[in-house]
Amino acid sequence: MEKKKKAIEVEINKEFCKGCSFCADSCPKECLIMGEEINSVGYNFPVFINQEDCTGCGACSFLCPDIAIEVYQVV
Amino acid sequence: MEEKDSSRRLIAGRPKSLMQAKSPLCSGCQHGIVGRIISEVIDELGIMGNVVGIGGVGCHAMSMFVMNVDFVQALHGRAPAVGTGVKRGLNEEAVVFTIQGDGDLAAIGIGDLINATVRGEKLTTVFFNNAGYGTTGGQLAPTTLIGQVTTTTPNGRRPEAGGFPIHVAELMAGLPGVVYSARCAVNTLAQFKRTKKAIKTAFQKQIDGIGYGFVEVLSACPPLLNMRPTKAREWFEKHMLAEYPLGEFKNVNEREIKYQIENN
Amino acid sequence: MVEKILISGNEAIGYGAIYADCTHYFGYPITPQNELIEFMAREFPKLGRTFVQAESEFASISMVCGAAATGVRAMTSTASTAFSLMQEGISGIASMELPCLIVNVQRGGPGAGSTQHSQMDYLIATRGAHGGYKNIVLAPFSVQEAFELTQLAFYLADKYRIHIILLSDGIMGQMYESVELKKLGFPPLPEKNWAVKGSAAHNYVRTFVHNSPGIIGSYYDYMKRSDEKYTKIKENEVRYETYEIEDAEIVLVSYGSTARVSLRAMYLARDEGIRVGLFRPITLWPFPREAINKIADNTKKFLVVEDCMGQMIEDVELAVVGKARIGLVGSMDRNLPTGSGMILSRKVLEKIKDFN
Repeated sequence: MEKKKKAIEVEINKEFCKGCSFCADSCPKECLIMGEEINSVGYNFPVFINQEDCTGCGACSFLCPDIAIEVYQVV
Repeated sequence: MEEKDSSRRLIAGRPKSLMQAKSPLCSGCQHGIVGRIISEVIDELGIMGNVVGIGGVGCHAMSMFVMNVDFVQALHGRAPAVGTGVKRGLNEEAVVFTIQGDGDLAAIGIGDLINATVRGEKLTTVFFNNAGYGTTGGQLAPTTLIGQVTTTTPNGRRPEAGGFPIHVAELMAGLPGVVYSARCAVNTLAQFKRTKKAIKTAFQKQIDGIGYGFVEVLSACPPLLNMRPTKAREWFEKHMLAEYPLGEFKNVNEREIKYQIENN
Repeated sequence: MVEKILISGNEAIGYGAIYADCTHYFGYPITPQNELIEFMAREFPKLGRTFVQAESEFASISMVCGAAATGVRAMTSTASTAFSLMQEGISGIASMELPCLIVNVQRGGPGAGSTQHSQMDYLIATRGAHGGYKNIVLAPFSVQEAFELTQLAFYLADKYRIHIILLSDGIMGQMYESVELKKLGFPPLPEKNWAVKGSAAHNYVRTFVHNSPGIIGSYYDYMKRSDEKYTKIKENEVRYETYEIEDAEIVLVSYGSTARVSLRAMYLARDEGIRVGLFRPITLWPFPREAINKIADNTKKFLVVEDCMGQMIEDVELAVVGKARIGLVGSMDRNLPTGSGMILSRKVLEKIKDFN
């Protein structure tokens, strides 16, 4: 019987982002890619493209030097 | 960590003792990760109202501006001495930590650091080692690797031109006043967790009144290396980790007294 | 019944610190102030106060900075060559507006100079290091005064949020005189709300004490605040003493141990019918410029007596603004050509007579 996985929400603060792409690089499930859009100071910020495979490991947030990502688990 | 609302649980987010403010560091500078780890540790140990940080001079000191705890700025290299003054001034009741970089700690401040442990101070130091001087534009540091190009070793560091990299964590482990010394990194999630554990242990040694705690955290400086952040991280994984082994070099629960004269 | 004891000038500063409720001493041994650090090492722990022997003078001044930032009364002591070592730290303390006491028991300079007395640090003490800050400089000329000025120093430091230099010298430090040990009374001082104690003390609003007034906040505000502070100090804290000035045709200007010599020379001169007076600055900064300027209306000869090649004489020249002639009795007039040579009162008398 398959257990229903609780959804993970990844919130990106695009204005804090400096486009280093550690998040996209560190995600073990490739749930983030650096987007085409830029923020007000010219950095490309990440987009959360794959909520289905996200395990909620938090790597994207923990390894973000600007803490521009927050990860929540829906309760 | 706090819960923002009852419909969801925060897994990873901004620690309470870190201000909701944009980091003043460069894109891809891992110092921000280390600053966040220190804030998480402060939150988890419940010492936010009873901790004083001493910032040195350098990029690591940017944490002073975004950490929501009391801070005293020290002159270049003097953080352990200023920290001693603060700790003694507060009757040893506050937790005092220093954040220092390559120049501040390993060059001008190496004497102050060693002597703070020789004096038996119970402080915690987090050493931000990125093998160069970022703030001033990318010069040679005591921790620069052999062959590494910097603005003052334009042909790459060589023993005859620039010297040898210093391994501070191992050096600290050899001092009797130091009860914890470790070297960590923040390039992967696993390393992040080890770094947090190490920094928490180092703080706990002070809280428990045991002795000096020291954690060296390696990182890559993209502008120093003239590389994009992810390329800099690759350079880091190939070269920094080859020069500086990660691990715990000392973890004791008591400062060793080898010999003592009995005064009658 | 007030206690009276026979102590050295160095120890008197230690007693002064105790009576002023100084709780933290950080220092490093250096001749000729070792009696002071040793006194602190003995007495402070007995009183439950903190004594730390640091590894260097840049460490000890940094510790004073850290402790003063937490609001306690902290001090250090040193001598000439190591006073130079402390300069960056003192400039840092000035930028942070921290109250504290730094004692300089002058020895010969430059470099390691001599291990004995001199008055060769007048300019560095009064002018300070980089950045153009000011500090109050107090100069005792007796062991009793050393004891009392130390207490005054801590009061002024807290009153203005400024560091104080107590300028002594090898002779002052090592001479023994009897001292009446009494605690001086001072007006009440405000709370140190700016002090770092952990944010819990301020309802979790953090305190950040920094040394970069030109990077953090408004440089202009810092300068304005400093300027107002220094103006207030200049208006209110000038201290000096005069002896037989009213009818003097020559006024000796001297501080510290050479003021004692000058005082005797003044009496010797008076015995011979020469009308000599003595002006003794107690605050070397703020310098008693106006008082000297006023004396220059009537007295046209000033003889500066100082154990160096001419430093305070510059301030006397500025004060007199050309209204009088100024001469110098300096280190070249010592009785011996070695580090232990002293300016003696008979030499001062000779120079008084030669001053035409």
